[in-house]
Amino acid sequence: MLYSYALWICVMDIDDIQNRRFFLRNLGVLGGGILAATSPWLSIFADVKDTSGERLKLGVIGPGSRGRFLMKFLAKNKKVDIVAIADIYQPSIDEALEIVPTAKVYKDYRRLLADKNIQAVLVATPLNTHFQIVMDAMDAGKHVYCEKTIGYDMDQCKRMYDKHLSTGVVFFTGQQRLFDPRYIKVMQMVHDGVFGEITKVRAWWNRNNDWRREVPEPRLEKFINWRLYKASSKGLMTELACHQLQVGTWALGKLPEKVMGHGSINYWKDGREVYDNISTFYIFNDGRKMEWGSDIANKFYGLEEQILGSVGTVEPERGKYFFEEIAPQPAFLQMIREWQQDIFSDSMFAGTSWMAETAKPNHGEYILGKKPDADGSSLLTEAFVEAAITGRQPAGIAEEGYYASILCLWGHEAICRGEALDFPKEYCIDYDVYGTSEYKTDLA
Amino acid sequence: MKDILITRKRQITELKVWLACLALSVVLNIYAIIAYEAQWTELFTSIGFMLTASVVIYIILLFFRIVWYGVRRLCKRR
Ligand SMILES: NC(=O)c1ccc[n+]([C@@H]2O[C@H](COP(=O)([O-])OP(=O)(O)OC[C@H]3O[C@@H](n4cnc5c(N)ncnc54)[C@H](O)[C@@H]3O)[C@@H](O)[C@H]2O)c1
Repeated sequence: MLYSYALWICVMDIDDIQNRRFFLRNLGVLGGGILAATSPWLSIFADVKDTSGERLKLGVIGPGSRGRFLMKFLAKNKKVDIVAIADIYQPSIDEALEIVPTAKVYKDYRRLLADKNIQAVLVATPLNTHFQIVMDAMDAGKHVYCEKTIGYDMDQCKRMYDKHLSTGVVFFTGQQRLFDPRYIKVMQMVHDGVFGEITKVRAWWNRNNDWRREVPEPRLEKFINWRLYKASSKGLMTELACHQLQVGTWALGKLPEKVMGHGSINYWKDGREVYDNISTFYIFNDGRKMEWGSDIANKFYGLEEQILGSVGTVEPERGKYFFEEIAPQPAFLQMIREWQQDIFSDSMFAGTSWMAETAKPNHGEYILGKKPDADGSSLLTEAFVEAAITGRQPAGIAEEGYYASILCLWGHEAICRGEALDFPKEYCIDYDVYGTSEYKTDLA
Repeated sequence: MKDILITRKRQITELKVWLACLALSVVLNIYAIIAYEAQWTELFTSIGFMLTASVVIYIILLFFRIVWYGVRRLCKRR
């Protein structure tokens, strides 16, 4: 089996739909392959309805940095017409118009929502504004793609999810890893047991910068640097943890039952209100743990999610996996090494108790056969377009986004309260993958 | 500068010495394959290591041979 994975086709150029379909077919999605269990949302790419020739009328609310990044993919998609944008900041509007010069401009998003011509909206505004915009959009019958974290608190997230259910509109969240080929492929391997029993997930996101954006005039500080202030953001938890915690639950196939954590401002004491370093622990009912941490005063270890199994380790950000047992070095080299050790090493320390733990060079294998060069953002936007055109909500996509948001907000609450918190059962939704209907009664 | 002449006889002798070094490396590899329970294919796949080892052994031997000739010459002069 390992060989078949190792020989799995190198990633192809996923530049057009043909290639994407080819790619997904190889992953086993088209035609109901085994991936359906691991990443059920990919069924959106199955050839159920031919949507070629159709065009989705889309409005973008908040075409800031993330919004414009996504607009670049959407503008290339032949099935989309970005007909309008809504923003309250002129420089963002000007930059967005460079991508879509003919789009109608609104200063008030409600006027965009009133446009009957628009079928779907992309919401990429700051965290504290998502809730009202998304609720209004769903009430207006628009399909919604909302950037993560979806709500400012767990209650907002639940009400947004419930609104999606009651209105029946398509609801996507900005969890692009769900559509990233290397994550999809490796999760299939994880769930197939290729890496043995998964014993722990360890994730971190480190940077060495102040996380600030340049502010043209002081009165705009809180508006531009909204990430740094409590009224508009919950900092590292909502901006970074949200992505990686979802990877952990995706790998483990369950939700944690307890969380604890700590955060503080140790280095960037510049008037910000959100922590510049965080450590959290999510504990599952079988004792397994997911650790998540972030430090923005040291970037040596960068960003990673490590999925640790009894047979192997996955580092999806690097795009690699490593097996515990690697082929031994040629006997001739082993013999020379042993001679060298006998001659040069200090006999006091030459015992084997620590030698066995010394990491051997293990360069691992690329999940997709080559270094990753893109994330799932392009496929994610494309999936949203397919779903909005067909009006078909792909399985699990809203639920994964919902739980990712709940996990980071719950963790944030544990940090603020300085307590270990149990999973808030009132925020359980029925989602088979995590068995949460059963979980709900377990906790009750 | 004077030309250094390596006679045909010397070349053959050196070639024989190196071949002996190579044979020794092969024997060591056979020993290692047995001792470390490796695959016999390593007799071929480790050919690069054996060639390298034979050159290293040859150079070490050369050093001792030069010292030996030097000492012998000195003794003869006396
Ligand atoms: N998925 C990802 O990897 C990813 C990456 C970066 C950001 N994000 C998310 O995207 C969202 C936006 O982040 P960003 O970095 O683009 O921020 P940004 O500050 O660059 O952009 C936000 C935009 O929203 C506009 N805006 C603010 N309030 C508005 C309102 N009431 N109506 C209309 N427009 C309004 C701002 O003027 C600005 O143009 C956040 O939720 C963030 O978490 C996601």
